[in-house]
Amino acid sequence: MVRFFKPSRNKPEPLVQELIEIVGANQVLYTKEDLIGYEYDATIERATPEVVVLPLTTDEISSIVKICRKFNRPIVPRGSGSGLSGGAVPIKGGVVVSLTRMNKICEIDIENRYAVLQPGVINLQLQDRLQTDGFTYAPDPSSQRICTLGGNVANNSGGPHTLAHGSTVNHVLELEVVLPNGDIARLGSRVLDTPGPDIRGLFAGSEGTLGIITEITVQIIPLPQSLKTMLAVFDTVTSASEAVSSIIRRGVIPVALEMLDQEIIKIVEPRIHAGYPLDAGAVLLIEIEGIPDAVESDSELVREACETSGASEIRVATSSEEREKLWEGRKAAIGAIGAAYPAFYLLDGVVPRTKLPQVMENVLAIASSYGFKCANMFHAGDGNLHPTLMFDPQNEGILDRVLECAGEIMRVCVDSGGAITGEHGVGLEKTSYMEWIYSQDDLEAMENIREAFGPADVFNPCKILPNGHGCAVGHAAEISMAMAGNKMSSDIYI
Amino acid sequence: MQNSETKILSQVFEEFSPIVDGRLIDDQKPLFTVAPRNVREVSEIVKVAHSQGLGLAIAGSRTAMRLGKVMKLPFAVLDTANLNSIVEYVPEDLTITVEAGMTLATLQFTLAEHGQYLPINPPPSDEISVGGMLVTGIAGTWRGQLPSTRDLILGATTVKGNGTVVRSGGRVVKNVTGYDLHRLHAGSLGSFGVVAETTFKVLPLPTSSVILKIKPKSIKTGIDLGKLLLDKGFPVRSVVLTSPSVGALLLSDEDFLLLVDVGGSEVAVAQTVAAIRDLSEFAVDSIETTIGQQLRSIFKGDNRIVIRVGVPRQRITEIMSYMMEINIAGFANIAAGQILGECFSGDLNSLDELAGELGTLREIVERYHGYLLIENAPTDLRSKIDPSGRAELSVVGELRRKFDPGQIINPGRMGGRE
Repeated sequence: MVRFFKPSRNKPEPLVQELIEIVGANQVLYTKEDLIGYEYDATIERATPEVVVLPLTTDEISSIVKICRKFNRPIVPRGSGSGLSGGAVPIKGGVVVSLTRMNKICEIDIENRYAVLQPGVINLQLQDRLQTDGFTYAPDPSSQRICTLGGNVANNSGGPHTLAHGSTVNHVLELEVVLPNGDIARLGSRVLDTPGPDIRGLFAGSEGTLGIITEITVQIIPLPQSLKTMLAVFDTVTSASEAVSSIIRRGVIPVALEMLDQEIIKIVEPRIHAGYPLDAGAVLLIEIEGIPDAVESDSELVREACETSGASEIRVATSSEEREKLWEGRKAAIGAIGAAYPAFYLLDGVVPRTKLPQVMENVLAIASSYGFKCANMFHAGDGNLHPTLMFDPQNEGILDRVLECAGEIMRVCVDSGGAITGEHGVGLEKTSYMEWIYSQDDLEAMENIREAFGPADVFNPCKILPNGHGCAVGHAAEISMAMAGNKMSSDIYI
Repeated sequence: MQNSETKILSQVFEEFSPIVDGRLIDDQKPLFTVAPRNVREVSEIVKVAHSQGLGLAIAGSRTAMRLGKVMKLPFAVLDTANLNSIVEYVPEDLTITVEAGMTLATLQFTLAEHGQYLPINPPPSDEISVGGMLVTGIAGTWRGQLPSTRDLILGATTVKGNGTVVRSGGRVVKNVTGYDLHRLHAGSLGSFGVVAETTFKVLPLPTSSVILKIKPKSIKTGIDLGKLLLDKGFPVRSVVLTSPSVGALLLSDEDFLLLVDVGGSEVAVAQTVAAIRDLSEFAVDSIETTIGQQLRSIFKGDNRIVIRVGVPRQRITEIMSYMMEINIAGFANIAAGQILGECFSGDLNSLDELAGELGTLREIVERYHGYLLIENAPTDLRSKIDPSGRAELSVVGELRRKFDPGQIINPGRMGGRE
C-alpha cells in the first residue's frame, strides 16, 4: 500500500532532526509548503516526500543514506525534476535527496579530454563552458537548459545528437557513487577501458535505484571543423520516414536526424518562427559535421536521398542564427505544446529504423481512434518516437483514455521489435510494460542486480521493475494511487 | 578428481557428446569438452554442471585464453564454436544479432557485403569470437577514435550459472528499458555466465582508407604531433606511435614511427591526408594498409608476455619511455591513452624479476589514475602477479554470487572460487 505522508507539523521528528545535524537546517525541507515542489517530475505521477535534503558533499550524502537506513526510509535521488517517466517521484514517501546544490564544474582537462563534475551541473552549462576551448560534451537532451548531468547519467539520456555520438553512457568515464550501505565507491576510471566488469556502464541508466551519483567524469570531444544544418520538407510522414532509411542506405550517418510532423509544426511555427513551412506534412532536420569537403559531399548524398523520397524543398542554414532558429523549433517544441494546450502526455518508444513508416502510420491511427490530436517531434535516425497526445484534463475520464491510448502505442513499438523507452527511462510510468519485453527470468536477473547493490527498497523503490517489493501492480494502479492522494492541476501532464 | 568420477561426469553429459581433445587451458587438462549447438543446449549443459558442482571453462576461438587469473581445476570446457549463426541482420537498421561463437572475421565478412562493419580491431586478429571480444574487453588501435565493444553492445542473451536463460537490451540502437545486463558482461572474463548471443550497433564501412607513416624525432615529438592531429577533428581511426624495435619488425625501420589510419569517404580521406601533410614538420608517406593488420598481430603467440597500460594522454610519453627503459617494446594508441607492450623474460627466475618490474610500473600508472593489465602471459607469471591489479568492489562479488551461485563459470578466472 502506498503511504502518503501528512508532513505539516511544528516540531521536527527525530529523522528530520538527525538530518539537520548532518547538513544544517537550511538544507532540510519538511513543511508541507516546502515539499510541494518535490512531489513530481515532468510527467503525470505525484507523491509527497516526508523530507527533502539538499546536501553539498559526498560525505554528507553518505551520512544521509546511513540515517535513512537507520529510520528505514526509502531514498529518492533527484536532479532538476525534468524527468519524463516519474523516476524522481517519491511514490513511497521517504527522503528526497536533491542534488541541485552540488553544481560545481570541478575540473576541465582539455589535454586529457575529460571533465569532472558534480551531479547538479546543468547539461548546457557544461557545453557552454567547453565551447570557449573548442570542445564539447556530446549528449544534448532537449531539456539541456534545465536537466542535470546526474539525472542524465541516471537515465542514460539521449538527445538529437545521439545518432552519431551515442547516449550518455558512451561518454561517462568514471562515477563516484554512494551505495545503499552508505559506502562511497568509484566505478570506472579517468582512462578508457578499466579492467573488470563494466559496473560503470551498468550503473548508468539505473534510474537512481542502485545508489546516488555524487561525481561524474565525462569524456569531451573537439568541436567539428565544419557543420551543415538542413531542413527537408515532405508531404507526408511516410515519405520523410522513407528518406531516413534512404540516407542511411547511402552510408551517411548525420550527427542528427530529427522529424517534426504537421501537427507539431502548426504548434511550433506560429510561436517560435523557426522557418518550418506551415503546409508541410513533415520536415526532417538534418545535421552533418566533419571536415569541410566531407560535409559538402555528404550533404549532397543527403539531398539526393531526400529528393528521391519526395522532398518538395531542401533548405540549408546559411548562418549560425538560422541554424539556431531551426534547432530552437525542435528543442522548444514541448514548451510550445504547453502554451497551446491545457495538457499533454509525451511518450517515448523506440523501433527499428526500417519500421518507422508503418509504425508512424499506426501511431497516428491509434491516436485518431481515441479522438486525440497527436503531435510528433522525434529522433527519426534512432527510431526513437515521441508521440504526444494533447487533451483537456477537465474532461471526465480523460486520463484513463490517455493511458489506454498510450499503452496501445507502446504495444505497437514492442510488436515492431522495439522497446518501451529509448531515453526517458522506465521510471514509475512504464514498469508494467516491462513484461511485454522481458520474461520473468529476465526480470529476476534484473532484480538480482538490484539486490547485489543492497536491499531493493532502499533506493527509489517501485521504479523500473514491476510487481516488486510491495509496490503497486501495473501502470493504472500506480497512477491512480498517486492520484488518490493528490489533486492534479491542469498544467502538469508534460 | 579420480578417473572413475570423471567417467561418471562424462556419462552425465553424454547427450552433449563430450570429447577429450587434449587441448589444455592454462596448462591444465580439462575433463572433457562439450560444444552446444544452440542457446537451449548451453542452458542444459550449464544446469547439469551446476547440479554437479562442475566448473565450466568457456572457450570461443581460444585467441584470448591467457589473460585473467589461472583457472581452477576441475573443469570441463564449454566450447562455443558451434554457436556461429547470424540470428538477425537488417542492414538499414545498422544492427546485427549473432551467436557468440561467431568469429569477428565471419561477422565482418557478412557486414562488408552490405558496406558495413563493426569498428573494432582487437589484437591479434579477427579470429577472436564475438563473445570473447565482449567478455575480455580487448580493444585495438581504433579504440578512442571509435567506440569499444562495451559501447556497441545493444543487447545479449546469456545463461546464468544455474542455467537460466536471460535476455537484456534489444535490437534497437537506443534503448533504456531496464538494467543493461549485457554491459555487466563487458570485461567480466565470463564471470557472470555464458554469453550466447549478442546484438551490436554497426557502422558504414569507410569507402576509402589509407595509413600514413611519419617519422618523428622522439617519443615526445611523435606524441605531440599525434595529439595535434586528433584535436583537429580529422576522420582518423587511429594514431599510433611505435617504438623502434616494433618499427624494425613492422617496416624494417628502427625509428619511432607515427602511423595514422585515415578512413572515410574518398573526399574526406583526400582532404585529411592533404591537411596532415601541411601540419607535419616531418615527411608523410602513404604505406600499405595491411600494415594495420601486421601491427595488430605483432605480439601474437601463446608464450609471449603482453601487457596493456592505460594512462591519461598527457602521461603517454613518460610511461612509454619508462617501459622502453625496462625493456618493454610496444606501441601507443594515443587517442585511447593505451600502450600495448611485450615483455621479454627467459626463465623462471627472471619471471620473478619481471613481476617485480611490472608491479613497479603498475604503481606508477595507478598514480595517474591508470591501470596495467596483463593481456597475454603464461600461467607462471599470472600466478605471480594479479593480471588486472584492481581491487574488486564488494558489489562485484555479490553480483557473481547472484549470477553464478555455484561459481562454476570460468572458475577462479576473475576471483577466488569459494
